[in-house]
Amino acid sequence: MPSDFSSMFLTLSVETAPMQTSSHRTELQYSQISPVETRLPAGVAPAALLDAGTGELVVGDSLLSRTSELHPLVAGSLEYIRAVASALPIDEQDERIVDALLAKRQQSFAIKPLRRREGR
Amino acid sequence: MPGSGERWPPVYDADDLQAQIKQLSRRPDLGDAFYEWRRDRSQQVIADVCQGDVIELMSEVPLLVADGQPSTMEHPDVAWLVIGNTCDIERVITDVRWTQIVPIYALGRRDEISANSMAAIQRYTQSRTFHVPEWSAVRRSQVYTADLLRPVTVDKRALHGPGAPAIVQARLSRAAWILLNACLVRFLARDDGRYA
Repeated sequence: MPSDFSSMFLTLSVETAPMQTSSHRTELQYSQISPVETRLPAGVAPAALLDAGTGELVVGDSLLSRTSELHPLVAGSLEYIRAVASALPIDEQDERIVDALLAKRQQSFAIKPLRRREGR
Repeated sequence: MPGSGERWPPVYDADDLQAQIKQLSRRPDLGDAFYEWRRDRSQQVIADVCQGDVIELMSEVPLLVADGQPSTMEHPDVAWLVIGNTCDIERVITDVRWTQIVPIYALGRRDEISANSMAAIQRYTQSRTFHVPEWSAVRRSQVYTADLLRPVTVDKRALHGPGAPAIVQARLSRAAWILLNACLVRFLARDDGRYA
């Protein structure tokens, strides 16, 4: 066990178990399987610990690179949705008109059950 | 464009998008501008299937009813709109077997629907339906809409290929396809207000 981690363990695993030491402090081991801490890969850490939160980072930016494809894809998709919303507003009155016509058309259509599953 | 090998760009200029949608939806000759190909007017034969294609397929609409059991609803109008992604349709069957279609229903005879209702239908301001102008001469007397609330999963082999029972009747123009795509996005992207 590395000496610089003699009294400190990272709790990155959900598999932890308390162990009483001679100084009556409870130390959490990283894993019940291995008493040796597993270091994080160099340069990898939660984004919140590296930069101030901006609301724009995605997981891929911090883990892979600063130019992951996901961010511009999401940004582009949002822009498209906003453009659609602006070009095609929803009119509730128009919706009621079409809903009524459609319901009237479908009300006479027969519904036939298929083979039914027994039990729950 | 579908069938030509040329890919349309997936991201549009917002101003151009808005202009095309508004221009199309307000055209008095909407039916003529809506399709780039119609079976009843063309000598050209198409062998593929694309998003937005109007197909005719003799089938009832499968659904789960109130007790959760599978049932079918009759569909005398026989018409469907392909809403599945064209790229997925073109992938080999072993990779992607399924696509999605929605039923197209006749809302009534054209001469029986009020002018106010007709205007509402053609404004494309409804989120759950998509107006489909008549795609053949025999359909001209009725007003049609696709019901986005009734997506049906279908094996791609039912739509095209040897022995496929479906027949493609019409293919949307680029502007109409953009309109459909925008309506599909709007249908899925509506906020439900739970976290306002």
